[in-house]
Amino acid sequence: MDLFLNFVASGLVIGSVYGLIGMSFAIIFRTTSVLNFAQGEVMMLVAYVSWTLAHTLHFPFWLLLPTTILLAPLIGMAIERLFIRPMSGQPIFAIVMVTIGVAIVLRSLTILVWGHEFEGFNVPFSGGVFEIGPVFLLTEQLAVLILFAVVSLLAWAFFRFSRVGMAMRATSQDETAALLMGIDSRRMSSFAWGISAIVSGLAGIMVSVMFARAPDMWHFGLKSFPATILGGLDSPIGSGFGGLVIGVIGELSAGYIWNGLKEISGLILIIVILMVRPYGLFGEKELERV
Amino acid sequence: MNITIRKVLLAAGISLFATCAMAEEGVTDTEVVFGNIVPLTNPVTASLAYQVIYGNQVAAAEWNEKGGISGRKIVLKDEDDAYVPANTVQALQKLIDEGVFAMLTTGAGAGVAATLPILEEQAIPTMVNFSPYEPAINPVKPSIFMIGASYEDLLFGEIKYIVENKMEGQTPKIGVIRQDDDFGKQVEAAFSRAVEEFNLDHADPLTFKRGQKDFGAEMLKMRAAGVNILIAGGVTSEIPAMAKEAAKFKMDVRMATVPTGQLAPIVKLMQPTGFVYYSGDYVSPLGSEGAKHFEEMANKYLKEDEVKGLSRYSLTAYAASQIMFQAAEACGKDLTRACISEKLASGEKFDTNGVTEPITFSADRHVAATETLVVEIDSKTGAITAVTDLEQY
Repeated sequence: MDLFLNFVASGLVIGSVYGLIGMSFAIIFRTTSVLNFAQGEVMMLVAYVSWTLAHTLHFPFWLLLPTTILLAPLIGMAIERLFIRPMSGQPIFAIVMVTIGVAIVLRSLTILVWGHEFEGFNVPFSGGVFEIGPVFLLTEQLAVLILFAVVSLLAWAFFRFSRVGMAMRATSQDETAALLMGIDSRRMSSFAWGISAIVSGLAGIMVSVMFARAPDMWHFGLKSFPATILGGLDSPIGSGFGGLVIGVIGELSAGYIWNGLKEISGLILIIVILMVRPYGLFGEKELERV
Repeated sequence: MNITIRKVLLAAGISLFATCAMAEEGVTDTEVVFGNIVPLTNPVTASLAYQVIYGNQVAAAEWNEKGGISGRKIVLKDEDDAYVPANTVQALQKLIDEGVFAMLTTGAGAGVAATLPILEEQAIPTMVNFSPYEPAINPVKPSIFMIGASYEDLLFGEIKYIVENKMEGQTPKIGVIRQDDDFGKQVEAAFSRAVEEFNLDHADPLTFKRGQKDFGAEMLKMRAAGVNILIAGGVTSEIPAMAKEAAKFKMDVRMATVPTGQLAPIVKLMQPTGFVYYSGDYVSPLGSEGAKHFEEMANKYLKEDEVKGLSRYSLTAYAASQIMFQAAEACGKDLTRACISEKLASGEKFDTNGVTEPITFSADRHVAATETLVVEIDSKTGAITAVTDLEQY
C-alpha cells in the first residue's frame, strides 16, 4: 500500500506540471481555436526570465513571484501581437505552423541569451522533505501540488465569474455574435495568450526548481499536450485534470507493469478515450444545426 | 601539329591526374585540416560539445604557435550533429566534401557507430575520445584509434571500489537506471559484469527515454527492492534528478556515475541531496599537477569565459589532439593518411603533457589510456578526490 500511495503521489506531482501546461494550451485554444505548439517554449522563456530575476538580479521570493506574474503575460501578449495577430484570417493550419516556427525561434533565443548550461533554481521552500503518513514529498513537490490546486480554482472562477473570462468564453463559442455584443475578439486573444503564459510560466518555474533550469525543458510542453487532448482542448480545467490522470497512470504503469510504459501509457489512454469521446473527457461536443 | 598538341594535352592530363591522386585531402603545403563532429545544438550535450572544442582549440593553438605541423598551420573545422547519428553521418560527409585530413572527434557513441563504415572505407585517421565506443577499435580498424576506458570499465571500477570499501556491515544489492540507447547499454554492461564478478544480489535493470526528468517510479522500485548501490545512468541533469528522489525516500545508497558526474553544474545540482557519490576517469583532474600545462595553455589561448567552461572533456579532447598532431609531425613533409595511421600504430610513445600517462598504440591494439581511477565527490563541499590509483579493469 505504501508503494502504491507513493506511486500515486509521484504521479500527481508530475501530473500537476502536465496539468498546468495543459491548461495553458486549453486557455488559448478555447478563446482562439489555435493550438499553440510553442507553449513549452513560452514556459521555458518565462522560467528563464524568472531565474534571471532570482539569481542575477537577486530578487527575494516575495518580489519574484508577483514580478514574474506581471512579466509573463507581457511575453505571451508580445508573441501574440508579433506572430499570431498578423496571421488573423488565415487558415488555422497556417497559424499552427507559425507557432511551430515561434517554438524554434524561442529555443534558439534562449540558448543565445542564457547559453547551454543548466542551473538550479533555488527558492526558499525547496530542499525539505514532507511526510504524510507513508508518503514522501519534497517540499517543492508539495508546492507544485498546491500551485496546481490554486491555479485550477482561479481558472475556474475566472472563466465562470469574471467579465473578461465570460467574454473569452463568448468569443470561443461564437465570435461573430461576440463581436456584435461589443467584445473585442483581438483583445480576448491577447488576454488568452497572456494568461496562458502566466500559467505555463509558473509550471516552468516549478520544473526549474524540481529538476533544473535547462534549455531542454521545453520538452514538458510536448509531454503535456496529451493532457489537454485527454481533458478536452476547450476545457482548461479538464486539461488540468487530464494532466493528473496521465501523470498517475504513467507512474502506476511504470511501477507495476513495465518501466517503458511510463512514456506511452498516457497516449494509449488517449486513444481509448478519444474512441469513446472524440472531444476529450471534458470537452464540449460541437453541435451543427442543419 | 595536331598530334603534338594532343600528346601534350594528354601528358598534362595524366600529370594532373597523378598529382590529384597523390595529394591527400585536407593537406596543402601551408595547411592541414582536422575535423570535429560534436553535438553543439543538443541542449543536453551542448555544453560538453563546447568543452571538447575548447580542448582541441588549445592543442591547435599551441602547435600553431610553434609553427604548426612541419610548417603547416592546423585548421580545425567543427560540425554539429545534435546528438543524432543520422546527422553525424551527414556532418562527416560534409567535412569529407570540404576536404578534411583527419578526425579529432566523431560525435558520441551512436554517432561513432554510424560513421565507422565511412571512416574505415576512406581510411580517415580518427581519434575516438568524446564517448569511448568499443566496436570502434575491436576488431582493429587500420585508421581508427581510441583513448579512454569504456563506460563499462569506468563504472565497473567504481562498483568494485564501493563493494570493497563502502559497504561496511551491509549486504550489497545493486540496481541500474539507464538510458535506452547505446550509451545505456554500456552502462548496463558494467552492471551485469559487476553482478557476475562479485556475485551481487541485484534489482532488475530499468531503462528510461532520453529527456526524462522525473524518476519517482524508478527510485521507488529501487527502494522497494532494497538497492544500496545504484548506477545512476543519466548523461547530465538526470543524475541529480535521481539523487533527489533517492534523498527524498531516505535511501541509504551509494551512487556510481559516468564522468559527467564530475561536471560543476551536476555537482551543484547534487548539493541539496548531500550525497557522497562516485565517478571514474582516465585523465588528470583539472587543478591537479597533471592538468597544469593544459590549464596554462588554456589561460593563454582561450577567452576568460571559455576557460571557466573547461572540464575533463576538454582534457580528453586536448590529449586526443596532441596524439594526432604528434603522429602527423612524425610524418614530416610527406603527410598522408596512411603515414599517420602507421605512426600511430608504431608503438611510439605520445606525450599528452601530463593529461594522461604517455600513450602507446600498437598494430593490434588501437586503444590506450584504458586504466581508470575512481573519484569520490562530496556534493556538500563540491570536493572531488581521487580514491584509487589508475588501474586496468
